[in-house]
Amino acid sequence: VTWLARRALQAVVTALIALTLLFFLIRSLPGDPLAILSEDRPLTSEQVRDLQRRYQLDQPVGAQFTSFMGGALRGDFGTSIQYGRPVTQLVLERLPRTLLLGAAVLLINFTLGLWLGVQQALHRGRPLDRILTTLSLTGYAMPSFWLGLMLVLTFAVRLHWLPAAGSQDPGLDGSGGATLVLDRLRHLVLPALTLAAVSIASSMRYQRAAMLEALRQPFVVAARARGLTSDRVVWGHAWRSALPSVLTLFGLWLPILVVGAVFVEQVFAWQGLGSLTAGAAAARDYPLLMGTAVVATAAVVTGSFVSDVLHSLLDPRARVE
Amino acid sequence: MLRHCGRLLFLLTAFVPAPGAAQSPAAPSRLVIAIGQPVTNAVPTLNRGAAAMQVSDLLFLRLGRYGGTSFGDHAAVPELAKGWTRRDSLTIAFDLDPRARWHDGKSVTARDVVYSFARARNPKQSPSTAMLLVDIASVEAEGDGRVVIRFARAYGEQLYDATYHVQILPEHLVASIAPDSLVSSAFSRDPVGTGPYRWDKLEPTEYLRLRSVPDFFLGTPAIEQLVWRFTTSQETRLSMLLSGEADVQEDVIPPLANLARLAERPSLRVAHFPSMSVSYVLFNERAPGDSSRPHPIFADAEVRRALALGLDRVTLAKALFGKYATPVSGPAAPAAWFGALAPPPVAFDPKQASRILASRGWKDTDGDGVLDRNGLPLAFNLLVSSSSVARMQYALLAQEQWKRLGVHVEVVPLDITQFLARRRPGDFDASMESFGSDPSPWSLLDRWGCGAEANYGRYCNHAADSLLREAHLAKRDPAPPIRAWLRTLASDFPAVFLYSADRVFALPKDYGNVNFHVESPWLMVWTWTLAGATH
Repeated sequence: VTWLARRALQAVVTALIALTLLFFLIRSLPGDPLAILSEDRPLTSEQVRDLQRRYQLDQPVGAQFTSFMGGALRGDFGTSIQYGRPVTQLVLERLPRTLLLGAAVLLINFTLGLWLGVQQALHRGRPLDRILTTLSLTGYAMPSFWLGLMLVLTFAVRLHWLPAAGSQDPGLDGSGGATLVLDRLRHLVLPALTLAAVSIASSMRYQRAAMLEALRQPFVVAARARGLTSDRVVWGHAWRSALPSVLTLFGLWLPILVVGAVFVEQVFAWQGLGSLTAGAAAARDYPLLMGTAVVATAAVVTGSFVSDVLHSLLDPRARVE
Repeated sequence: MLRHCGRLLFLLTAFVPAPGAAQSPAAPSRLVIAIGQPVTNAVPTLNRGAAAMQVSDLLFLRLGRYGGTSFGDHAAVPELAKGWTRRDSLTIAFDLDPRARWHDGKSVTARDVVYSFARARNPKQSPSTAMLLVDIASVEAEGDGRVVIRFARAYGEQLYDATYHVQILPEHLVASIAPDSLVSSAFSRDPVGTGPYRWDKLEPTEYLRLRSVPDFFLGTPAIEQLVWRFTTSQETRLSMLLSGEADVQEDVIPPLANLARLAERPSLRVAHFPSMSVSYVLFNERAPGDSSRPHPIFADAEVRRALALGLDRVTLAKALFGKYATPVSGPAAPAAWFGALAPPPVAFDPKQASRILASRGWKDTDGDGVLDRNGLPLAFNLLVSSSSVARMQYALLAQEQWKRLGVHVEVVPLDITQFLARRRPGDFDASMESFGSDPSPWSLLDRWGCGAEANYGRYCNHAADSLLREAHLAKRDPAPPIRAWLRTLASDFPAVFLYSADRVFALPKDYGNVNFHVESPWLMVWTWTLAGATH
């Protein structure tokens, strides 16, 4: 319990430091946050003053920071300059899509990816290992937007099997629940495959290395000597021992999947947090940028915390360290 | 495992209708339009961005819609007003169409019009519209069916001002909402208008759907649903079109190669119509960062002229837009009613350009390929917003052509906020601009008038301003002063006016009576007919 509390406290402190740094870094970016509002027609001096007052841009940066932190504690991140709507509302609108896509990719990586990694370790140096290594590294080396475009061209434009973009069909509104769920899944397939293809290599490589290490351990040799079945040795002993080091990947992947899928989101018009963050950065929309920064920071800290906890559950020695 | 994945994929593809599949006869006719900007609010004065304004135009009618000119008493076509009567040089009375109804079934009354004008003229609530309505002295109701608008002075664009700038809002629903709360009100989320389509559903960031109003008082729309799907990537919009998930793609070009790709779906055709937008290279006539001093290069009108002569605008426009762009000589788009009054653009003449530069003392004294004068190289930065592919490409092509004259141009691509932040205080030498004007020539004063808010290049010619004022106040024919104003601008070269590009849309072949309104493309979609359309 003490270890858990200390680790949770560390996570909170890390988040606070990260948000403080981000707040001041964002405000040091060149560009005027109100400029986007004058794109169509220039603003009068009075309008500029009103807007500065509304978004507290007329306050010293220190006062803006205090106000931001006060609001953040209440769950209020202010109003987006670009959209004129509450930041919380904008983030909550996008979050479900981001989580759905992220969860699908994590699921693929941590099921198929780990299974393939184990297969590679079991077939070390043999053709299957070499083919899987080549394929996974090819996926890893491919730009995600290019791969996405190719998949769209093949499965949506040419074959008409899957939709090219969006997360739902506007025409299926009145349909039953099962149709809607299937429709969501159909829209999910291509973006999830694209992200998984470029990310699965790392889980496979990690798993392969960890498995090779585990298979050399004396307890695995002993298990074989005891006459256990091959599956039991691999999955019941070696894989369990290899798992903790692979779980650290979860902490690394979570934040990337939350806000790092900008290109894939653009290619598939998958309106998640990544594209919202990119748009906010381009528009210097300080409140929105900070709102998404909070989510990203939370993802990093949570990912790291969860992987530490899982690691410690699987390997109690980690708690001592 | 792979077998299971295959089964799942089969299920996904087999039991949900494929995108673009023909609908059953009972399914509503639907037009799906792929656009780049999301629509978040369609309430007049709260909406931002072209797409939101176009949706707003379908929901909220005006007293009359733009009639092809901004002058005289034929500047509008009846919409909510079935007609108007001029009482004197300062007064117009509008008779409301008794058939006009709000989407909640209530009649449109003069109170709605009076309320909407009061809101539009209030600088606190609608700052940009209020500026345009300064010549309106009063708006009063005469009973339920008549509105009388009085103007502060006699001028030719009274009817235009009374109809073009103000969309009518339902007083019975909006008046009780505090102005600051309107943006987050239930009315904003589910607006009630008077147009041929009513608000149906907004799935934020994903799509907006409007439903037709079967008893719309001007006629029944044939297309029952209009759906705008939001996709920032142009490539994705094209994929949606080719896969059948969208029926229409706005602004298919540039790149021109997209036109060839449309052949993959033979049921599509290309439609184009002129826009009110003109693109130009704007010269800063004052020193960057110090507007009290003249610009060391661009203060000289002859240098600006030489740069215009040294640019092959016909070829460059063709390279980017094919046949879908027209070279221009000034800020008036050919689609504007006064566009035809502009003189022809100067022809490409690099030899003459070189002669002019030499006569102004610009010579390559150090043999580095760049002209110079008194130690100052003929070099400048050209700001471009990286959000526009066309302007980025044009800037690079222009850079190459000017290089042949001995002019060094540094193209500076900036994201939109940096671009706007540098342009506003005049922190630039030249910038690639594109501006879509209102149909009134008067609206151009804001860009080209001495000391005007949006006159970023600090061009100033008082005689030119007087000509535009004379046109604005003209009671009969405003053409002579407008023509003279356009000639003055064409000879002063405050910018190199490049082209006016058409809007090029891809849409299904099987719609009839297709017409795009120059001011708001979808304004007349309710008059389209279905000639065997599957959607």
